[in-house]
Amino acid sequence: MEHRLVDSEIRVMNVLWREGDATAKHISDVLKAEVGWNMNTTYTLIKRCIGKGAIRRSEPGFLCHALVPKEEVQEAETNELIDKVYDGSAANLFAALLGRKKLTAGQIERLKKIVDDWEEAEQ
Amino acid sequence: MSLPQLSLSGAVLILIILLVRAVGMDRLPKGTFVALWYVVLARLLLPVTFQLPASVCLLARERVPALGAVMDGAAALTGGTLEGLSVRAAAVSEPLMDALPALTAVVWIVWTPIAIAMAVLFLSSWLDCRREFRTALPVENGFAARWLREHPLRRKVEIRQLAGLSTPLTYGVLRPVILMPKDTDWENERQAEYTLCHEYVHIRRFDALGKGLAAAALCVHWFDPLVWVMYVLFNRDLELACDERVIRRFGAEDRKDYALALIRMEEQRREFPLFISRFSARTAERRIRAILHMKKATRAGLAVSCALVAALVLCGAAWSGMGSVDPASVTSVSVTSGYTRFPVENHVLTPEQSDGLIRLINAYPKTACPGGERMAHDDLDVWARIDRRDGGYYQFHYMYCSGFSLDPLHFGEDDYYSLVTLYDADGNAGLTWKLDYAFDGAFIDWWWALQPLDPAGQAG
Repeated sequence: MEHRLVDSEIRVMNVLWREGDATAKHISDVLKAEVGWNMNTTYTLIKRCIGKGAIRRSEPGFLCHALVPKEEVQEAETNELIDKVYDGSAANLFAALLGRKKLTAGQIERLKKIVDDWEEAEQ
Repeated sequence: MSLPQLSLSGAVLILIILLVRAVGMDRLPKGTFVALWYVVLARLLLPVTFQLPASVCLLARERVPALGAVMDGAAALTGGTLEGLSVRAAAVSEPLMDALPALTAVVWIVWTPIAIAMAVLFLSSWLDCRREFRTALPVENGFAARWLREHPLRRKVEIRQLAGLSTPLTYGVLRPVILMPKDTDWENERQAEYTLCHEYVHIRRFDALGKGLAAAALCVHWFDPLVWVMYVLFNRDLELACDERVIRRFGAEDRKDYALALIRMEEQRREFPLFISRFSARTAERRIRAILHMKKATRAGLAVSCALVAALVLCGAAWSGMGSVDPASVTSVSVTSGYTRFPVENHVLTPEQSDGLIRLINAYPKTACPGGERMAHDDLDVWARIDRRDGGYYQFHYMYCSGFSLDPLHFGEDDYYSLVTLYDADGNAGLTWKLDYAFDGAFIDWWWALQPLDPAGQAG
């Protein structure tokens, strides 16, 4: 089975692959020192790894165990974040309001043409 | 000031900016508009009255007649709207009177949940984003580290990268983080430098905070379409002003490259292509054009933009009162009263009594009010002339007008209030402000305390 994780989730997995089973608290401490994440951020990522079947958490002590070996994980090329943050969330409404949408190829071409025209006019 | 008053005065300021923007968009430094929007935001969010001394107000009107006209226009427009509504409302007020308490309640019942819902929407999407952004990893890259060293700020700035992000952005006010897409091409140092510089300017200018304030104003004034317009244009103008600063940093010869860098970033954006609208394309076009056609900063441009900001502050203050009477400038106060209990004519008050009246007038909120028919209750007609050292005077008029109030706290009640009009040494009337409802009771108490005013000494 192929597992696709984003880079920050792989960062969490790295701790488990390197140090073996560890408590969420310990992972959080390690990552705080390594990348400056606070506890909530690390816990969020651990939860996502659990959701993707990459980590199993067992009572007692919330001991985390890597379910997949390093070799089986691929870094996800992801649009996930965009979906998560924008899709269906309130941000969507305001993004729409502010016109933060992707432009089509044709529209991009028009923008480039504006620059070209300007350059010609300058010379 | 009450909410409708804030909203109306803000709306007038927004209309003025829209006008200035239409005329001066390509002529003035873009920062002008951001500064103007901040004046509106202050007006929309601060329920306090700005107190400008009468002398400043009169001087400004005297020196710059246009400013006086704008201020009167602004006051008349807002006041006129209020009164126009009052008249219309008064026509139907008879049957409405019975339903008034219910109406007031309806105003609040509708406003409150929508304002709260908007705030929750903004906060939750902000929290969603922040949770996501926090999972970003540090950028391990020589260029980024060097750039950070070369651009120190008092606040600690970090550069991080996030998978799935398609355009660079900044979050955080006190500990700002520049987030770069994970696939940023750090080899292309020029592009990276433009991007970082753009975000750096946003950080330095606390634009994130400004956006938050604009969102807050939108939550409070959700019923005002002009505030929605402001919200959109404010966000757009922040970007334009930021672009302008970046080009000024790099030099005008860089604008083509900067424009192309922006277009390249647009190309790389992977956001869902579901809602492609001409609106966003037009905005992008305008932005690119603004960058290419940027004018050199001139002293004249800067002077005009400073003057505009000052004028708008004055307009905002004009609306919100300028309602203080400077006790030090007052020479004497004389009262005339048709009130049957204390009938007096041009009765000069003792210094203690005048201080009492001035303190009272200053203590209550005021709003600008265009001149109109002054009608007083026959037996409650009390007015005072407050002379100033500079030869001008204030005319204080207790009990003015009646009608139908739009103030949600007093919705539909008889709208009588007290007025203060500012006169210059030649007897020309400046602005007139009306005093808040609460003033009424306090004035009556003060008036009762003046019983010795009764010339015959037969009070009681």
